[in-house]
Amino acid sequence: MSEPDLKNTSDGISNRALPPFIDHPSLDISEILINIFSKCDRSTSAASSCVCRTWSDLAVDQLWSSLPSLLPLLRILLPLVVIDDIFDFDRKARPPNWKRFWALTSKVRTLIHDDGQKGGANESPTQLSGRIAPNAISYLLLHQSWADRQFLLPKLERIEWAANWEHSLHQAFYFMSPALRELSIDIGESMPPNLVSRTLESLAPLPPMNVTTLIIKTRYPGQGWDLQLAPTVASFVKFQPTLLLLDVGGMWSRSEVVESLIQHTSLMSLELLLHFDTLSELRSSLELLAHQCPRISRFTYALPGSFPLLTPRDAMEPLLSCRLLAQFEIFHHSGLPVDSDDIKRMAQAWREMEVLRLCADTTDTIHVGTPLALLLEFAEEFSPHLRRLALNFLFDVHLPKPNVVWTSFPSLEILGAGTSKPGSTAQAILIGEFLACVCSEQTELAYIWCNGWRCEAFDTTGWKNGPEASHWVEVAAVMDCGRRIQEAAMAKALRVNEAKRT
Amino acid sequence: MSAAPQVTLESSDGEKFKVDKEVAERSVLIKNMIEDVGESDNPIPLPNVNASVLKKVLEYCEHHRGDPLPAADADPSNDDNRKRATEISDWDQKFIQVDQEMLFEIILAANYMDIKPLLDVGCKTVANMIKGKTPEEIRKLFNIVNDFTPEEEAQIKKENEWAEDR
Repeated sequence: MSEPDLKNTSDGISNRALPPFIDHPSLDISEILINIFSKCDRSTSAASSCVCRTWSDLAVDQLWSSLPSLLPLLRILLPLVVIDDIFDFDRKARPPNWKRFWALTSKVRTLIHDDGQKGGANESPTQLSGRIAPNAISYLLLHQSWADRQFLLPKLERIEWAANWEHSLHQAFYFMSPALRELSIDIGESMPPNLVSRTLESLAPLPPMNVTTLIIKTRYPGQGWDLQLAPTVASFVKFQPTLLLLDVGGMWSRSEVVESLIQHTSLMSLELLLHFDTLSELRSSLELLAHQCPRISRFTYALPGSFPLLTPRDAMEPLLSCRLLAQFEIFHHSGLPVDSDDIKRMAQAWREMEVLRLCADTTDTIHVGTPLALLLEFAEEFSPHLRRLALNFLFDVHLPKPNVVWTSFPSLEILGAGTSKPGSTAQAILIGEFLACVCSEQTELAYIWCNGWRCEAFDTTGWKNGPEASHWVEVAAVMDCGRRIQEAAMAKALRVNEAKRT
Repeated sequence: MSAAPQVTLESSDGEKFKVDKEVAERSVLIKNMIEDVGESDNPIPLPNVNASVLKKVLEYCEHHRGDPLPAADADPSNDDNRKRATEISDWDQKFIQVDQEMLFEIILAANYMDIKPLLDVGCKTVANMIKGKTPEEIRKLFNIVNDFTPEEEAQIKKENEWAEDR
């Protein structure tokens, strides 16, 4: 093995008082090394672990604190073999290395597991996705009890588990620990809902769970299996009163999830995909939510394509008592149109509002919306914190001339126009002139942009290439021009004032 | 016009630096010392930082004098925030373009004086220096002696093979 060059003097002898192995003292201080490794990617941490003993322990701590798979940990104990696409221990290979296994288990704080990829014919040490034989987990549990250890991963804080075969989901729960704060479950389309239900039911009441973040989503086609599973998910949620963030926006449910939030007064963030048919169902669910979770600050709900047109009374009003609401997003095919009174009431109730998305969630043309001129009232009434606003606009009303616009948004970053479109270039010019006055200097425009399963209302770049948005590109150009004219006019006024004074 | 309050800092080699209190207080160590001792005309000694390094550190503090102070809480979600916040700004990047010896002296001083944003800039720079390098290249870069036996090194490499770039 080659030795590194030492700093030599002319006579070939180092004359510096070196620490035993490292040239500069800062590379021998744990706090500094931990800071450096926390900023390294995985492969650099792996290389750092081989540099020297001082570096190794700290780099290994960093590297093993976040595991992208269980497989590397299992390979520490024993080599793995692949039988019928499933990973199992090769128990005849050598004696198991329990000492190193337990040492590394105590470092793991984040665990991601994905069994989507099948094992393949040969075991490769770099493969990170795969199914693990139930026997392998039983083997661990047996030794866990013999070793008198309460938890396999005692410091695990965050777990992301994608389950795609029948044995996988309940395996996740053998790795839970009292330190766990974030639990994310992704249920694959091949997982029968009754099996998922049974697993969740058996695990829901198990202590110790102090989870603050829970994300559950499914990949089922259609809504039927989601709705079958929803009551179990709701009772699982009920057993987690410590939740601050609940995201079940990736699976259909009815009112059961909101009903389950009976002890969740601290809940701050909620995302739902609501399979309702009527406005009254929606209204009563939102009323219940506002009653049970008064401190909610971020709330998103999505509704099915067949849901009737929304009214403020049913879709927004029940939440006016949630005074801390700072982010409110509705995903509905036509969005929520509002009038002047609604704007006043929302603005008075939600003094912290930063992100408000009420625009349509489809690329179809929508004939309902909020008159564009009411943006002035948003600018005047709403919290100065408002950074993002998306609405569907109506343009067939008189727009105030730029010289009579009396107010503008102080800090609006993005104005989403949903699916509303100016009808002509002439209209686009009028809109652009108006927006140049009412928006803030940094406001960018966004048009609805579907790039995935959900339409994005605040994407300021993707929409520009779509054919639907051509007039909005014109609006943006006029806005830009209008702002420059305003700047020039202000500069001129300043110069005139200056000249008068002198 | 009333002048901004000033403090005097004294480097390990006896050089004195008179700076605005607001600038000096970017260092949590100095801030705490001023709070404990109260304002005085006596210079604050920094026995671990020499004049050339202190000058450089103060240049950083001067440039960032108005920045919001980083939160000191230990919220676990801050971990992600911290990682995202490690992009180095253009000014900082220019500032930290120094020879290796000075880079490590700045890191050491930032650690001692408790100036977290400066420590982060230094550590991020080192992280960028070692990115994509083999263990042997890292040792050469920083003059680090390999104190593993070949067997130990092979063992560590095997354990962490999963994390290597494919």
